[in-house]
Amino acid sequence: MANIKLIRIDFRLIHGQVVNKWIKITRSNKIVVIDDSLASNEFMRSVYIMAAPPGVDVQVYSINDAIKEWKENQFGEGEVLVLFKSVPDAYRCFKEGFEIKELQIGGLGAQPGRKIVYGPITLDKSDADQLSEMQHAGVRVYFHQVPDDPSAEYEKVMEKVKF
Amino acid sequence: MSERLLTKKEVNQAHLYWYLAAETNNSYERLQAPSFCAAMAKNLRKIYKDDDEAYKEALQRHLEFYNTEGTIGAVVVGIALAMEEEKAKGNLTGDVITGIKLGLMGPIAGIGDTLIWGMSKAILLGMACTFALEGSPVALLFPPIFSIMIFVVGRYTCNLGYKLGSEAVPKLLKSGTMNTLITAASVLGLLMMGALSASYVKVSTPLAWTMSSTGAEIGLQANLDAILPGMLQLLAVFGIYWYFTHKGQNYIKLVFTILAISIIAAFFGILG
Amino acid sequence: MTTFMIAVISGILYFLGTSRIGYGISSTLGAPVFLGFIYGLLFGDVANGLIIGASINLLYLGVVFTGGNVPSDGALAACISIPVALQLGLDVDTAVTIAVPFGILGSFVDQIRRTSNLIWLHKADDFAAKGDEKGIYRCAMVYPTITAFFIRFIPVFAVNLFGADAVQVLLNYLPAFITTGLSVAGGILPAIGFAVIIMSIGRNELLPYYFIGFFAVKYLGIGNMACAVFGICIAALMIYRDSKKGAQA
Repeated sequence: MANIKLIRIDFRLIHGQVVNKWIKITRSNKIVVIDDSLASNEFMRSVYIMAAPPGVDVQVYSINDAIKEWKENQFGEGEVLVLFKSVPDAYRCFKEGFEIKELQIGGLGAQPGRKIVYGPITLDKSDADQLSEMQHAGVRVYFHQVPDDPSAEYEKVMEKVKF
Repeated sequence: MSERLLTKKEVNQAHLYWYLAAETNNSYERLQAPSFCAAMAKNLRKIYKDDDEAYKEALQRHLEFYNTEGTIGAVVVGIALAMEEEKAKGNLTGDVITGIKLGLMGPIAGIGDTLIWGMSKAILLGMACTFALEGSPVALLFPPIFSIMIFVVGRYTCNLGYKLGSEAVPKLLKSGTMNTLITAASVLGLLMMGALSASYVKVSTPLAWTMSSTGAEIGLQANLDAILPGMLQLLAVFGIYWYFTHKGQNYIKLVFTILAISIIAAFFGILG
Repeated sequence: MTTFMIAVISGILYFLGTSRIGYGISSTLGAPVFLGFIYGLLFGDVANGLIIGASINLLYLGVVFTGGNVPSDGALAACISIPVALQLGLDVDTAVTIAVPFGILGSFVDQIRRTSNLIWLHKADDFAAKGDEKGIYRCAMVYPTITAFFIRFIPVFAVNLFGADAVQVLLNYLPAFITTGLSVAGGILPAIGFAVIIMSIGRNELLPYYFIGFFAVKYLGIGNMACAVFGICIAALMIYRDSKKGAQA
């Protein structure tokens, strides 16, 4: 069974912060990207796999396949960094039995209807509801963009935010 | 490939603006968006010369969130130009262009940040430091090489992107060429950093004691050097490495810890 | 040169080093080793300027601005520490220690810049809606650069007006073990730069190359440049070997 080092929500999925900072600091050797649109786009999927840094294996699953893969063999071997593109994706996996102990919110971009809550990270009402639910179910939810910056617990940040 | 609208000169103009502006208007909301839009604007005018509305729409499309590494990422400027040209012919929609941009920016930033900023910059400025630390102005040769390299590589990838469209990316990444380059640059980087840390991390102890039988003075540093030269230097480098990988990356805390340890050690005469 | 002139020049140098006009140009103009050379010229001691600049630069070799974030700013560190050190004749290690806290503050200066850029971003939206490409150029390049000038110039100018005197007074009053400690710290701090690079390369199987470089200097006494030359040869061999493999496959 894979050792899950980090579960992160980041709308940019794999990018510089993930490759240069989080993989190194968590010393992961496998990235599991869980995203329906990426999994169904053969071209983009192959780009993601080709762009894997040396020594790191990239796997792309749709949400359904990810849950199946998790239930069958917990993503196989290795030190794994799991990436979601959005809160609803992570929530759905969590609801369907994917075990999340800690959930890092690393990047969610600005869009109309979304509110900036921590640094450049934004949430909307349904994101906040889903995260609160997960948090009440015992998941440690926190905001953390890059390791060199400080992190903040979800609960603390949300004391000041009203939707 | 069918008849292409833009000349090489016009593609180069897009790259030049991208090179100049890539980071000037970087904001938390949309990062490099205005720079990308500025790089595209003049050629968009040509692509949509008969259609003002489509032109405005295209400008707005390229003001949406965007961020990548700008050197290898110049390929996306070329790709976007090629795709806008196809859109003007009615072959694809704006969503597809945005989708490709957002999809490519991440993986390209991952590779570009590693190869260009993590390694090439460290190596070339490391060489500059090597000469400068001896007081030699030869050091000044190296930093401009980095700046010029970014321009030349960016111009190449931008043209490749325009020529091949999104197929340019697999071509750039294919058959592990990037990974070979990254590995080779890692080796060179590590060798240089090893050598530089041997010379310029400075830790030594003045601790010494006198042998009661002979009255000869024995320095601890000399003994340490006899066991493994540079032991304390390695301890400093890998102590910090350990801190980074196990204690998080609180840079400020780290700096103050080093200051505190140094002052305490100086007070007791352990280091000096 | 008057303190006022030094402060003005420092403010301008810091602006040029961080303006980010030209994707890779700031990496030259803002490199502490380059700034060390310029200050060396100004104070008539090029060798010393280069040595102090390079010593500071070692700390920032591995800094990568991922996602636009500036984790620490070598240019700010250099534009304050180098002129102070050259005016007061400080030793290299103390100069490095003075530089480091300003490097940290630099990341806040950049946050101010990126926040102020929001104004021009929203203006660019208006120009896009009107199809005004000149307006977009101004919002992308000209206005942010003018704003950045003030954001960059003012703090460095102000600190340099009083910096050397303040440091002089401080060093006069501090007990000897603290000044020794600061100098000791300056010797250790470059280790951060090396640790960052080892981590960002992050490949344990390649770590022996670091030790080869380290002990080549320690045991064989070869120079750093010699080590780099051998490194280039090894890297070339690796590229050649892999490209042959690719051709056969």
